[in-house]
Amino acid sequence: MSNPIIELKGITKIFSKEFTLENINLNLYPGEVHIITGENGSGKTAVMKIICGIEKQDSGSVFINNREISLNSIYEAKKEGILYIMQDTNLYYNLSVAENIFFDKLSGFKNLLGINYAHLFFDCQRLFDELQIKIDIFSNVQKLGLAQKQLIELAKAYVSNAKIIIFDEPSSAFTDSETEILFFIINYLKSKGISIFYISHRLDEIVRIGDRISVLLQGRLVGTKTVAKEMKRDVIKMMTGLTFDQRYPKIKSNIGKAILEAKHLSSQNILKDINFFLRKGEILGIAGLAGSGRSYLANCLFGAINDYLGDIFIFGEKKNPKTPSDAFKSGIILLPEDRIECAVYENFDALFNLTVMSLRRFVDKSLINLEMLEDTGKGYIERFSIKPEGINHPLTHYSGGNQQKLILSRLIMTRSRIFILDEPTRGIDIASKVDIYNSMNDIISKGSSILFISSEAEELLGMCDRILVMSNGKIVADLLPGKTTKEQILYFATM
Amino acid sequence: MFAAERLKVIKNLILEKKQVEVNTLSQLLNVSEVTIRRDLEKLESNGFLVRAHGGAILAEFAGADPKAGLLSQPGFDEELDDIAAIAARMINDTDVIMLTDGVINNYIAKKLINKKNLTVLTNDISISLTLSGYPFLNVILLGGVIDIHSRAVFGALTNSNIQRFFVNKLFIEIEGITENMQFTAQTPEKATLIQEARNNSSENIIVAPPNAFMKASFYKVGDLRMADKIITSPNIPDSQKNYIFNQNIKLYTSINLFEGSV
Repeated sequence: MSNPIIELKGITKIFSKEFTLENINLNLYPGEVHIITGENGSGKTAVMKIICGIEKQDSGSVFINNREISLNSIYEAKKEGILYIMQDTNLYYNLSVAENIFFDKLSGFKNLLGINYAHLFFDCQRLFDELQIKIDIFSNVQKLGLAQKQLIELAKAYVSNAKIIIFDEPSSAFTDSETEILFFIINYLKSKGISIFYISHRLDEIVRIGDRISVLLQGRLVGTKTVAKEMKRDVIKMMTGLTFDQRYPKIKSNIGKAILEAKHLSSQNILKDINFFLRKGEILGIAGLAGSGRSYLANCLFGAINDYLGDIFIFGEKKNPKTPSDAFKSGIILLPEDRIECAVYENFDALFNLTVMSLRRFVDKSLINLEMLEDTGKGYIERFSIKPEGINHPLTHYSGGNQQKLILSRLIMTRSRIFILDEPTRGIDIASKVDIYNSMNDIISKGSSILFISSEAEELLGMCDRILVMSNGKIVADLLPGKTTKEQILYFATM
Repeated sequence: MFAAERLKVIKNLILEKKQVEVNTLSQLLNVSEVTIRRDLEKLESNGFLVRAHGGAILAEFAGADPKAGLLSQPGFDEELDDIAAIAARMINDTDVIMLTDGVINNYIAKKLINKKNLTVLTNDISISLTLSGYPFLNVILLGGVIDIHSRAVFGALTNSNIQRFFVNKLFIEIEGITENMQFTAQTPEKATLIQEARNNSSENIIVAPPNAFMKASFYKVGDLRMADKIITSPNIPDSQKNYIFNQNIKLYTSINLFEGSV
């Protein structure tokens, strides 16, 4: 094999008492896909941030083509030919899809005189046709769901001139059809000799696209191995052969009458005549592919999108929330699909993140009673076994799963009656998943209700009392889990 | 309303309902939650109630530990009670169940007194006592030799006694679970009893306190696959949650975050 294009030697960095990177040695060859995997909080993203100059190592060196480099920003990394596609998408929300994709190419001196938009849109449409991406190139990125944003990031990588591309869990929101586009792009990049670091938890991706795999554990590199052909065969066999439908801790609840009803809800040609009801103590699943309108529906119910026609009844009264605050006052709360973008206050501590929606409860003679606030916060963190323990760690110290548990605790602390959970378990570790399923049991056993949006048919079948399937902005099926299979859900979702 | 008057209202309410919520009291009495919490703290220091998540429970009700009289084991363990609450939700009116001896199963028994036409088989003397006064329950106490530590019956007599029954839900309380999820018991008699009971049930539900995990007792009962469901506290190691989920077995944890009563 030729020389590695990038090499990390003895990278060490102390982030905090609980978290350090220790003596990381990694390399990447031209045209190679090197998978980085490990539990949440094991340091995968931290290593990548050092490569890109976002963080600076305490000791150790990074070499590109045997030349030691010292990068101070992601801009300098770009100049070295390194492109970092982050876990939380990094797009310009007020620009169009086409502008976002070609943004790096637009930033040049000659464009100061004006951008040839016709050309830009033409190129973008041609690109999307080639990649079979079905997103409106003129629409604002703001209006898109997470999976669609991730697709745009992939397309950006596809047109970039980068020599080294880092993908940080690029497919967490993808369903099968988008995953095929991802594999197509990766293979194309490989054929061009581009080298890729690819962070992933998904076994199917690891075996399908990986050449080598490195595992991190608690800030240390456990080892690097070649992904062997036999392993691919075995893993794929294992993954397609078994069904794991017995592991969801569903609990019986007392289901009452309808407390949330949508009647003839339509919006923007994205939602088309939606009618459904959610009952007290019920978990109602919403299945559907990315772009089917499920998150858009959630945002309408929560008043975050308010240009809808039709009516929303809450506890039998017509409410039609126009703002999230309206919805919240009527007892609705939303766990957004995109946790990092819409829910987490990254630079504030756990206590702030936990109690920010419930501060009114702690008002004591027009001040906040800090002692009670802290006491309550500690109680929640212990009861949900959120780690690290304690209430003063900044959110950046928590793994994705623990962040999600904190945000869900924030919602539960509001004692709302209708919980809309949009992909609550996506991209998080198994232990946190189990905790989140059980906290859903807690919510319904106290008489609240859950609208559970998920791409994972299995968890919907395991946890829900009923499942609605959405496709192209419509509800196309109303199913009972006991009488339904994964395949049936997929069938309706692709209608 | 004066503070003294407010305390009286709270006291009357809790005597009547056995438990109260901070939120409800705050709305009812039109004072802040902070004030209500201070009132509850006061009443707790008087020994009138025990504060719980988001509310309080009448002291005698909470402290009425089922084994307190028999085993001098005072104190109310909220964590174990939460585990028992999950188990109780799995029990329907006309079920035929067995509870093996153990503290959590005693908590479960306490929650069954309002069931109708439920049949409970047990080898635990205090469970049978707890349930003995209710006409809508069928309680069957197995015969056998009384073990002085657990106050339950074991031995050949008990095992042959079990053969005569078939239950649709068997709640097995386990005190030792090894790192690779083998269930163990402290005495050979208990291990044998569980194995016998398993042969005569359609669904096996393991209940375990969090400290049972990563702890081995000497006598092997069986491996993870004998369990259809496991109920424990959320405070068990992540590795064990992983393991159970990956083995396709339901893991229920007694998460009690939402402030309010069932």
